[in-house]
Amino acid sequence: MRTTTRYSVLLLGVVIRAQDISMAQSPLLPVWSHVHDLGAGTPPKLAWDDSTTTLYHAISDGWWPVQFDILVYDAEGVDLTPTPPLVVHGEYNYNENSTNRMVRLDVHDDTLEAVVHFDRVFTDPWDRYTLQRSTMNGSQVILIGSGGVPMHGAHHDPLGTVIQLDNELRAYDVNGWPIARMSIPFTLTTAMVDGKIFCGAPPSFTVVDRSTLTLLPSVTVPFSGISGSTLFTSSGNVVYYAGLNSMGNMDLGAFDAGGVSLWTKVLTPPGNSRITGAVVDVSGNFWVSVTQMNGLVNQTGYLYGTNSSGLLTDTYFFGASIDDIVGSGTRLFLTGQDAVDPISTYVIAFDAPTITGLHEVTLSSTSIYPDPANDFVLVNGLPLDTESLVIIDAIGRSLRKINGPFNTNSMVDVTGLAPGSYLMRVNSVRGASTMHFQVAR
Amino acid sequence: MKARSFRKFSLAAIGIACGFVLLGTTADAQPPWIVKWYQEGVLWHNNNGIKIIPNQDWTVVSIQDNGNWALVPHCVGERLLAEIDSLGWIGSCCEGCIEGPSPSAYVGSVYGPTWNRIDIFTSYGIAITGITPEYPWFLGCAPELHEGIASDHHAFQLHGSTLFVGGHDDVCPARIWKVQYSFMPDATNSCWCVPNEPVTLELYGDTLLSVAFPTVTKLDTASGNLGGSFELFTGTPVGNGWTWLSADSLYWISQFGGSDLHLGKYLMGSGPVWEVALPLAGLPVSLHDDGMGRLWTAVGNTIVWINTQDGTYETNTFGLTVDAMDVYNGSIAITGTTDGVTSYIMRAHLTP
Repeated sequence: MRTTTRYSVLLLGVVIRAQDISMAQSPLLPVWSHVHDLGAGTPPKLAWDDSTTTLYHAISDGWWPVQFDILVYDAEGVDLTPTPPLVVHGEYNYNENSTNRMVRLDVHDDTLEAVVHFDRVFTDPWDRYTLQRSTMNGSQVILIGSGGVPMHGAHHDPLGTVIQLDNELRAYDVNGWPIARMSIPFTLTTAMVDGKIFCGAPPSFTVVDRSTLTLLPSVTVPFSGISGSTLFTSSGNVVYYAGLNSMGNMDLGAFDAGGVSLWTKVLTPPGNSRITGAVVDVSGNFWVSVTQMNGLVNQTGYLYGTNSSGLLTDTYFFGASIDDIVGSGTRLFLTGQDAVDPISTYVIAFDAPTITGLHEVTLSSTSIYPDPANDFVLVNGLPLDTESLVIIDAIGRSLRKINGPFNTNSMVDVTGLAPGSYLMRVNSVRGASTMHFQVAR
Repeated sequence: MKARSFRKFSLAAIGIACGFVLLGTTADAQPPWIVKWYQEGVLWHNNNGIKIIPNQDWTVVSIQDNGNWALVPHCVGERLLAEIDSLGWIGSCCEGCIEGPSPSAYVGSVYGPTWNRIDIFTSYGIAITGITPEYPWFLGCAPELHEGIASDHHAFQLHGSTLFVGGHDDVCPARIWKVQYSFMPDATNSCWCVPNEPVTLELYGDTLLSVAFPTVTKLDTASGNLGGSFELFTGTPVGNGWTWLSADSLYWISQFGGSDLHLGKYLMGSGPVWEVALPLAGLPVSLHDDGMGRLWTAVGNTIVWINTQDGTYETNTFGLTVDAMDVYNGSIAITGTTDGVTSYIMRAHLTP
């Protein structure tokens, strides 16, 4: 049975443990949240419909029957989920070790689009991927299966549907008939801007004319490493991307539909992370969610925000995974699962702060002294499970990493750092957080 | 015969434009259907049969399971019949794999009046789901017990609870067996010798039409007595063709007189009405009347739909090869391969 609880801001700690939230100078203020005892250990997904101002939240509904419940909210968190809820189907589990994972959820024109991965990992190496387009009344518009070829997303427009596979785009006409396929570089998502499909990964994005299904000149951007997992989003005529590369860095950037780069930025998320979502708010701030995997549970979520120039960041730490993020106006909606109880799934709404600078992020019981520093800083109150400390500069570059173990109070050498503002990231078994300090001489 | 009347459409091959492989061409017509579901699978090769299940809108497809489907683990390497539900999801499946020595082959399926599925195989005979035992019953010929071999084409017809199957045995080179679908003790089937092994069978009232292109032999369904014959065309057919009987109209498609396919309409008791030559090489996979004034067939990677009134036709050529097709109650199901190793299965609603 599905259980829904609406929490006030004061009870947010049930959703995301309060002590694990790093509060910035411009705090990320929760507006509402819900927790569901559902999830089956598979990541939840979100979709926002601007035309109906409705939030859709997909959660795996147990192991059998295999399906995803689609929970429905308005922007204020009022539960509009019909009874019974809409469902997206998974495949029949003829092996108890098989699982269904939702890869992507989108909604437009009163139609849900969901990509589902049927994972037969313990049966054989061949999985199946399907795109389901269903109307809100539950009737299925079309189902497209790519067999064992990984499907990461789909785009639907008046010309038909384009599904996006590992290294291929496949186009279907409005009646669902396959009409074209095209090899592309690996990409997790695509962006559709100005009648063009943007895909690939830094440093080179493939551009395809949607109407003629022909290649256009590619877009080249600066990069800090060869990216594999790249998410796209768009706002107006601007394409935003976030790519995690082999160096462990995350290349962020924005360019216009003509391919002119507007800004780029390099961030260094914690190790063993994956990018889970990207969204642009009404102010042009670009938000990227990352989840660090610490084994099968104890996932840690990070939310990075850049302003419209891409020069400044906010980093928010969650004691839970962030599996998807969508936005509307200034409001951000996040979903994920509890760090230690993956069948507890949350959805939470924040009002995005106005990013005006590099905000200080503090741990509740950890501090840095002196600040500003000259040669060394003393980090007081380090958690016992601290694994590493990372010094990050104002543009997000990781400059220095010190591996543990650490005493509760540890000295860190900052000689050689130019005067300026820095972040000290504390990576622990439970996750990570950051503190601000300065070097002045 | 009425004058031939047909429109020609470009049969342009697969186009390639800037890396995009275009599966259709602008010269082709859009098939009058709306796809309901479309499934691809790596190496589901040799999908040689597909059937719309009449009473529940499911689809059954004959698959060579090489392990990538692995619906029934012990069936790896064997052929099985997989059922796909009305929404396109591959069902929990299956009645099991079709094991046994080659060259036995799956011929096709038909659904009985109580919705038991009857599967026909060349050397196995007939298997019926939902009865005990379900294993195939070979085609016998009372009081003889010579094991019959069904035609490897589509020579079967169900009439009420009576199933007619064409083939041969070591006594008669061209047989038709008449069996009761609900109970089939091997030695009580009726069987008749006919002049030519049928490629297709059609039921026209109390007359069974045994089609061995270009000759159609008429038999009384009760006694098996021969009732004469007629020719559908003049020529020597290449490979097997198909027929479809709608009321008094017997439609046929066959390859002869070169590489072209020929398609015609024969009015029972009257004679040929029209005949067209389709500039397509290869063997057709089926012939179906959709009840909306069109016949459907496919050859290679071209789908063809034909106006039953005058034989005009339209085509859609794309990058997928069609191996089998079924049409029922406003729906079409096709299966084939996308590239020789990846197979697809599709269901669509036909539109007028």
